[in-house]
Amino acid sequence: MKKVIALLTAFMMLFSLVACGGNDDDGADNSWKNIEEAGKIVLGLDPSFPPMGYLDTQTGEYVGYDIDVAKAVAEKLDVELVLQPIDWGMKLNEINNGNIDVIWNGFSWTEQRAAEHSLSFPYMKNNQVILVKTDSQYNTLEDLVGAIMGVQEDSSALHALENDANKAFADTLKETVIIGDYAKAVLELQNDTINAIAIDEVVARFYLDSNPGAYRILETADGVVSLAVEDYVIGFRLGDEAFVEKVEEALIELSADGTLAKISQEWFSADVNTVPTTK
Amino acid sequence: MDVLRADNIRKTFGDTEVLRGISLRVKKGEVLAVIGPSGSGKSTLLRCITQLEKVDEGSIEISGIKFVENGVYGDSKTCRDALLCSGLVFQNFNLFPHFSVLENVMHPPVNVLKKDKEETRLLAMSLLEKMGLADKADSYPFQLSGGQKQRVSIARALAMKPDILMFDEPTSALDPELTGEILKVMRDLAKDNMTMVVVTHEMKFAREVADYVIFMENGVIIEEAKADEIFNSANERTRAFLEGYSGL
Amino acid sequence: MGGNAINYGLLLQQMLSATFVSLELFFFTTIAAIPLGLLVTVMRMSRVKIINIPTRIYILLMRGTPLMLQLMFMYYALKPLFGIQLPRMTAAVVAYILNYAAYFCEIFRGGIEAIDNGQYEAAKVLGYTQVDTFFKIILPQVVKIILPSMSNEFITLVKDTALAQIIAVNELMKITEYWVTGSVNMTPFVIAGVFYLTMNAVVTRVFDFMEKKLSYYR
Repeated sequence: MKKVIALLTAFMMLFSLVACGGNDDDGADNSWKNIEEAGKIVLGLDPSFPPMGYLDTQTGEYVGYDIDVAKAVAEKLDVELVLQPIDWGMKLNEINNGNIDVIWNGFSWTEQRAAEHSLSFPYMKNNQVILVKTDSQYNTLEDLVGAIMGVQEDSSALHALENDANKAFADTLKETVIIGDYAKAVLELQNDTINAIAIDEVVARFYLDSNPGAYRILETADGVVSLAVEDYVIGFRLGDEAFVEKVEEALIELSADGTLAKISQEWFSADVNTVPTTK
Repeated sequence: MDVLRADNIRKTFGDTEVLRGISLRVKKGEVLAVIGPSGSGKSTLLRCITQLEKVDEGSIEISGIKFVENGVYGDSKTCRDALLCSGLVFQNFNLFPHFSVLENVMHPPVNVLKKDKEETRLLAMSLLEKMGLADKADSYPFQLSGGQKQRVSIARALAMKPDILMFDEPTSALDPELTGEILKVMRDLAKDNMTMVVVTHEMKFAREVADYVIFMENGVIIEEAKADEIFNSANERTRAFLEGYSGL
Repeated sequence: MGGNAINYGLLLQQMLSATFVSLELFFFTTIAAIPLGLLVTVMRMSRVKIINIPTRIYILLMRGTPLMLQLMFMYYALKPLFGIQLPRMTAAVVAYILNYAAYFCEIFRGGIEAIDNGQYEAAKVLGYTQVDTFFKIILPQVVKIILPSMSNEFITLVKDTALAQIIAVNELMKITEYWVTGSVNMTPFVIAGVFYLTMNAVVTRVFDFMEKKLSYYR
């Protein structure tokens, strides 16, 4: 039976790679033309990634920094923005099959993703940090020897833990538990089934705000302990360069006229956006 | 006129030849009893006549319809017509448990013969009355005793108005005190000139009711005669078999 | 624990509409999987090898691989393999129907094989056609035998609808998770539990009623 599963999975992986690229058969890049004709951008998001994209429990709507920026971009491009919640682990299949047009939801740049997608320029810095309980004894990475670390599946924090720079640290951990989403990881932290979470700083800060005093981010005299500094980018179908260009142009304009700074202030009380103001 | 004719029937299960050239005739209004030790092929004979088993060789004709000739079966319509001329009462009754007593008797004529429902209801009720079961019409099989179940199954077979009715050890699954009620019903049927073939271990019944008796052993007919003659037979094997039954 | 306040009116409203999605999956699956299961049963019990063997392989695949994998296959693999992209809901419904028909088939087969051979013989001798024998004599008895197993399957199906979230069908469980994330509060999970329990209480009642209805005979 394992063979059957392996075979099916292999099929899916093989063919999803073959099916890459949103271009028509003639080889021309019609990606922007297609979006324009459809009159909408379908944005794939995992609504369990606050504050970039999540469900507002007051309004019942999907909100977040990324959502607000995407809305501004869609307005600039004069198309509708459709928010499509997806399973984060399935995002590559979703975009290759054409079910969504962009992955725009705290999507960090990695080498692998650069090979699988066309990517926008970075629009924000992202720090991978460690979240622990306030009353725990952990202060530095060295303190975490023998600890159990939780991390979201297929997240950039997981990639960070796996890369060479952090290998020595990761090897000192007792175990790395891969959890479906950060909301469940926080529950585990609360219940002491894990000791720490490797997590995007923006997400960590959201949890700090929603439960003041319960958690803290690992910090030393030199500042926040960082596993990796990364860039948030927007993921497109491989080859959709015309579309990428359009979105980047819109972002630059929004940066120049101060819209991005304003949105950033609303969400982070600081201007964290890194979009250039000119081409 | 012969209602049933069988000629040289042979039937093999695997390596065992169960019927080794059986021939018999049953005239209208006659009662034929088939006796013999277990495994002699009596039941298989009935099952071949009612098409629950296929013969390998030989011919069978019911009410003038020859549905198998020298081991070759006729078309499905011929087989079905022959089937509908005969009825079979099982050892284990095989009533339909999800039907009431009345439905058990009514359902086949209405569904198979497309008879009028009201007419069939009257027929069914009169048959049940004859069986002494009129008050059980709305009961379900699980609520009946073995003897009552067997009487319902006889009524069910009769409702199809067969030319010949076959009984496959109809009292073998019953407690001894219940066999009497079934034998009485069968006696009454004989009086009404119903043509019957009865495979049985009830020697007393065979002797009193049957016109002819066939004694079978190992798939062949050892002796075939009028009832009185069989029970006073000079044949060694027949005598040996009958001696196993006391009170005769 | 702290977290963000929940607008409960809105939560219930969204959970109800997500429940509707789950119920849609449930009803489409049952309506189609029962007749399909019956057909598969006939094919499975066929003595013709060219019908029987592919049917066995189908049942093996459906029962031998995770439903979640089948859902993913139906939504993500059909396009690269055959150029077919079903809508999310359709892909989910098709996957559930194919999966449950295989389970139903094995239940039906068990029920049919539990019927005494004497029933077939009595029907044959009385002249019933094969079709009439099956639908009027055998099937009504099979229904009674399989009710408890079918009740089990239906209850499982109500809960299995939660698996459709893997292909981003916004059924009850997924919506609930979004609310838990947004509020950092587990209460929506408790409410979801009550929702599922209510649905299955109804399923249980319906089956109890049917069992009672069919208890007139043994």
